[in-house]
Amino acid sequence: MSKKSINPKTEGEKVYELGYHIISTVAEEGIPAEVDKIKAILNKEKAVVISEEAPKLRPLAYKIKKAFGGQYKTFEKAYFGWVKFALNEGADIANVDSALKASDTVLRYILVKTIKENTMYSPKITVFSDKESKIKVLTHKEPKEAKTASIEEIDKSIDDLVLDATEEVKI
Amino acid sequence: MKQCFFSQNNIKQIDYKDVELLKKFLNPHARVQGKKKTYVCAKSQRQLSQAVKRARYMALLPYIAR
Repeated sequence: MSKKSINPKTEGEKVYELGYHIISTVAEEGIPAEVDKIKAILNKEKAVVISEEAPKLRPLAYKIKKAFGGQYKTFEKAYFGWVKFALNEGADIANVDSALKASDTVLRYILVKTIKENTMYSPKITVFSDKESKIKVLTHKEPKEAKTASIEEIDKSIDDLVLDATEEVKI
Repeated sequence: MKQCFFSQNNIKQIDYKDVELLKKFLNPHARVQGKKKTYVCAKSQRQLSQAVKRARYMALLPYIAR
């Protein structure tokens, strides 16, 4: 993971996203401090934060174990948050990876390559799936570009249609 | 004929955090449905399965559901 070919389009800049679970034993008030710790890891590599979402307590789909000095603890809930950031040429993502691995409070994390633009289609992560949220997802649509057809254009298109129709009649 | 959901909505990158969206492409056992059922184009189907696998690793989606 050390050396990769540099894409000329992005000028050596690479966009990553870090998703993480913070263990549920941390109190709600302690979460901002945990986020700062993660930010400090990113700042060491001079990462530029593009977007982020603060950790929120949510139930896990399955139980996850984490070792604390030879003893395992099982977690059913965790604070899930994410940060999207860009690394410049020369920065090493492996350093971020190893620092997170050594962290006591990060239960699980994922580092993925992504794009700068927003990738979420659904409005927001819903902690508990209910009927309302499903309806929202189904009815949500990307805003279409506003059509600005002038009156002249409309007239012209109507004229074209009329002409076509008359031609057909002649045939 | 039904067309690819992701191409229609101009989704270039399928996000693993978008659990509500991913759930629509899973069967009751939480397995990813095939292309023939989802009507998703091959390129998006590959991205979809990758996103589901990431979501499973992060415990946002289950590996199995009974």
